[in-house]
Amino acid sequence: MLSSIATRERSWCTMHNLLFFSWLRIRRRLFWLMILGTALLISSAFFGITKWQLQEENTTVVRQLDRGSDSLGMALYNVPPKPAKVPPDQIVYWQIIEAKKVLLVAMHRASQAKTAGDEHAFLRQHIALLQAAQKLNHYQPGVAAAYMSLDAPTIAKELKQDKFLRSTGQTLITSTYSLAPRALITRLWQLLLCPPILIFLLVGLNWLWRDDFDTNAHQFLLIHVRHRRQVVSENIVSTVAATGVFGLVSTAVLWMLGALFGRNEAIRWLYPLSPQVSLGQQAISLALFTLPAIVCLAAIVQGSTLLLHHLSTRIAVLVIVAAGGTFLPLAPHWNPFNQLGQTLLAWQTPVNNWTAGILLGIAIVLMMLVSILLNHRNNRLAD
Amino acid sequence: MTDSIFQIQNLSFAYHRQVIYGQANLTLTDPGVYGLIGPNGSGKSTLFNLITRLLRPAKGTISLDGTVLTPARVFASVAYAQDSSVLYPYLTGRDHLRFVAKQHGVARERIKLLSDELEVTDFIDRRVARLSLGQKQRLLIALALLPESRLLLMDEPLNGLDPDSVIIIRDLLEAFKTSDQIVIVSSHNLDELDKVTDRLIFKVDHGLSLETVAEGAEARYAKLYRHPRKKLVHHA
Repeated sequence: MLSSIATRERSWCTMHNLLFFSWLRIRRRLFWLMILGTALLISSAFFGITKWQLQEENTTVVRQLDRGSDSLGMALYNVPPKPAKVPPDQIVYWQIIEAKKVLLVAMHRASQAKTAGDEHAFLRQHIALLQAAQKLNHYQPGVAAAYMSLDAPTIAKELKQDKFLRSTGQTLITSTYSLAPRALITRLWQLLLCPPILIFLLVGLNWLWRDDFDTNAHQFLLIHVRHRRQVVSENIVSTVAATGVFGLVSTAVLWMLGALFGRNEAIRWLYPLSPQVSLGQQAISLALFTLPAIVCLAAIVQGSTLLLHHLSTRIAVLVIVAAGGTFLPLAPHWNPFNQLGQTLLAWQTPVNNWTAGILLGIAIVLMMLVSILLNHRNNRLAD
Repeated sequence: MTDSIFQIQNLSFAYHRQVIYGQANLTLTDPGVYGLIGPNGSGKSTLFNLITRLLRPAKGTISLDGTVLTPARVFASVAYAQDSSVLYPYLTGRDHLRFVAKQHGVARERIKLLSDELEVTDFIDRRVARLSLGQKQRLLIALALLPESRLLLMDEPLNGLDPDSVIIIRDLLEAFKTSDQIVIVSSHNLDELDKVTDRLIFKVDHGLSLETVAEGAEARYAKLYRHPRKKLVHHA
């Protein structure tokens, strides 16, 4: 009993000393500055790209609406004045003209609302536009098809949802992109946790391991640890910590930028991204996956450093493995890599959270394999 | 039959299909200083890496005090003064010494003691990248001496040392002659080896041979490794 307590205490001391030594290396090499700088750069770039994409999308919508209202305006310009008493054979004609007028007004107002960035007004006008287009289609089948992207039940649903969202002070995201802090942060983590991206990030953040095993320095480290698995676990802990710092800084910067420039949009965690999933549910899924994903991919990076000498080959193999695991249709519902990729590419669909457990299992097995490899591999830098 | 302190049995190791050791055996029964001699690239550092389990032998065992050396046993009983490429260039000597002292549970006072003894104190707070080769060698030796291990391996400790440093290391090795530790020193500086020990381990073919050399290391080296060469003709 006493000896097991002493062993545990000794292991903790070793781990503590190894962690302190890693921190010393990060400090002396100014690696912390690189982590902060990269986080700042990536989150600012992410915000800038999202803002640009949103603007591009809005400009396209405005352009489409303006083009539509121009042609419709020209068509209505040549219409003769409406007679005081409409002859029976012209009733349908004037109903069509009325519907076209409603459509024209809705298009113009929707364009104005979109230009002003008023998403509530835009939605209202968009729905009016769709209803008018539907009415027009009823008289002349196919004539307003270009204006109709939704059917009547969906319009009714959106209208109802908007009322609910308005009562909670939220806006409806009609675009793929949003500048609201919560949406921005969730999207950033979706991007960071996508395996091909995360593995690339971890190659950089796992600098300590590369610094050890791409040079002879690992010999110094291996000689001075009782168990080599301690080097593996310590590196995983320091990589998780570095990634955590990176993630926290990125999140904080993005939150600030979102709060400053994305005030027009307000989204709660309950915001329904789709009938099956809310923003909060998606954030919980991402939180469940974060640690297992980082540990698993960090262990893969460790193993690749031990097995592949050239950095370029290593990065290429890692990206291919991660992309293959993510995008190949191999049991997608139970493939954690695929589920992580899905959160980025099909963000309105729910994730199978159980695969986070599978990912954790894979991560533990991989860590054990790296420890075995460290004990059984022959040093490639030997004389 | 005497009990061995350090024993290598049937050690085999190949690197890139080139056999370095084939069924090599070595038994050291007494503590003290031993020299390890062999031509460049013959596998002296490889032997140290095999002893410390940085490399895995294809076959055979290496044992100390009757126990086979595992990584945990190496940590507890073997110290290794490697070449200076194992040091972190951006860390200071003190950073390295403190890390090793904490890993082995050595009191901080010993760092001061060894630093003074090996004259490391003057540059202990300087980054390794800014140290001369001789200063790095002395730092590596200080690191190896911190844990007071049963077996001490020194890989070319006299490389790049100025005469004052050579005297410091020689005095240190002299002190080990009477200790209960085993010290194996690999070196090409045969004159210096002669001054501290007459017990030499030669790397011959794929094996190891322990000899007590009275005639001097240089003469024995010449007999074992030097091939008759053609005389160089100088053309005017």
